Amino acid sequence: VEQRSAGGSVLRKLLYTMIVVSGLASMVGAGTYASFNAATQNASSTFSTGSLVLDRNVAATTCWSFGVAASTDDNANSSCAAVVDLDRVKIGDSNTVDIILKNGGSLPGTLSFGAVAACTSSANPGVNWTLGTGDMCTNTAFVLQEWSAGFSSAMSTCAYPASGVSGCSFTTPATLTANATPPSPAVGATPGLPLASSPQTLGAIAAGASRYFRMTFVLPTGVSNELQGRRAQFQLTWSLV
Amino acid sequence: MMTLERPADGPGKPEEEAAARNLPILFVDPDPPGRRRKRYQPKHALEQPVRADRTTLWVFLILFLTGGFVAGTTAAFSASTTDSGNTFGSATLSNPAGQTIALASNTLSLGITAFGGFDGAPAVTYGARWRYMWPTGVSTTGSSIGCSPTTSSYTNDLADSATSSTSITYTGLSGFADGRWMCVMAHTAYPATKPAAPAVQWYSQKDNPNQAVQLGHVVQSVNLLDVGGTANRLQQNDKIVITFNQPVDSGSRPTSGMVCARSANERIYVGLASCSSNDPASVSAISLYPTSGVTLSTNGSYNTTWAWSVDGKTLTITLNTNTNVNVNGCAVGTSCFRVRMSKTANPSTALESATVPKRNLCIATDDENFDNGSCEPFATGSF
Repeated sequence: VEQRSAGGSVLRKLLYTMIVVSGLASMVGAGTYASFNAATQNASSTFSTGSLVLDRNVAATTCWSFGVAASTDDNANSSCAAVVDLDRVKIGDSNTVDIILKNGGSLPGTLSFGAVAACTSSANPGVNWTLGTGDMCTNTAFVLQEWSAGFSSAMSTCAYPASGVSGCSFTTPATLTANATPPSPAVGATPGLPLASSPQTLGAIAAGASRYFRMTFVLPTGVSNELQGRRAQFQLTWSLV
Repeated sequence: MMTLERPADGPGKPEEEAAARNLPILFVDPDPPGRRRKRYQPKHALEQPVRADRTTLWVFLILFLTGGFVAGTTAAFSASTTDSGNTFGSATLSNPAGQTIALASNTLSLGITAFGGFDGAPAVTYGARWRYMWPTGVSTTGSSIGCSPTTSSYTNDLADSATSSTSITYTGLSGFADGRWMCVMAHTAYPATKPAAPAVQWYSQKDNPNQAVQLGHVVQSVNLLDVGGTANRLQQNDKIVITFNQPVDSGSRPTSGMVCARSANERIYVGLASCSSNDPASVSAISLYPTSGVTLSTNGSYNTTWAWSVDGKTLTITLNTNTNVNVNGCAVGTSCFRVRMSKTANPSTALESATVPKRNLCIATDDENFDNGSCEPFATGSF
């Protein structure tokens, strides 16, 4: 009899605990459900979802997050064209890429970017000879500058890497080396390319809005001859969450 | 208003009675007291909780669990685009073509005829760089030293130019000595003008042209030609051809002199006014002395004809008389004589370089020279 009483007590305690927890959970969700009013009778109730769609436009070509399926069931498109594809860069050369990111969905979101994996450096097969052994990832500099609509004027701050100067500066650029301490490097360290697993946020974007970024890659004037005939390879992910 | 209860034994239904009395029905007890169902009671102390308790438990359990699923589903909205791969690759700078090196007094003039471009593209306005190295070998006969084709072997900077040519003074180079051979490699340079540090230039790294040059003002080679007909015999028409590494000043070129073979001291003196001199070495700038085991059979005196090449670098002396001095112990085709240079008493400036500042001919006993031999090459050929 004592055992039964103890078992029943446990069960009752568990039951009461769940009742209390469920009650509290419903209170937490009150914000979501508070607008439902039982006093009025709806002809029909609708619970519909919004959408997040990212349009990445480079060189007048748009790549949608939903890909070619025109469905957001798979809203992560990994088949977009390269942002940069160069194999004849000389010392001191720079290359700029204009990127327009549009929130093509109906919900506001936050933009971010990062590399899928760490940049890799290897011999460039497209050149006359490959004798160099330099690390192209470590020695390639880049900045990400946001511009006003139509790329008419640069914003006052640098999107990446953050700097105290007005706009992006190649005095303290980032490199293509993966960040050791994502999403931002330690103070005083040369910033690298953030990884998509710990992406660099680019701030909010309203539904239907576009933001304009100019990515500039530079092979600095101080890189040694070991960088001849080398290449850096990396994949960039632009995310909207 | 009334509360109706089903009478225990009454004939009418409560609903009907209420309707008959025009009263609202508030509650109808489906189970009158007399017929109320008994609540289930466990028959044993260890029996499981009643069905109603378990049902309530399951309802709350489902609500509890599904609440979490809803929250997770909401957080998964996202959109992303990923490119298939970016490439940022560097070019390679090609080698220049047509390296030229000219030596004049203390100056080296360096040039190329064409710049290399990036990966086959034509060069626009690029620069040139020259580096040097000291080869390990020594040329004993005046033939050019073989230079390394490996770019990384050339570690010493010689000159830079934003154009295809430049000139430098070589006498201040570390390791310089009269007669020493130096290997020079030309590179295409980009950008054309060497920038201030920390900026650097890129240089062509492969297939760069290289060339050897003998520094100073020296007799680079001596060639003996047997035109007289009998091997190892100094005969009429035999020739002594002396080549200098840079032009000899036209005002200090001797144009006549005798060739004197002296068996006593095993020397062949070149350029004496007379073979009767007691000390021909004091006035002869050039002499040939036999190598080990080689001897002269007797003394001989030869009138000669001297002829200089147009560029002033080659002197050809032809024997015009025939006294038949034999060279013993010399295998045909081997080097049986070595050149020995000495200063002439009159004029003292004999055989100076043509270009100002006029440079004295390297003399092994007086001048610094590399390996004590580059000013005294072995003669090739034989009489």
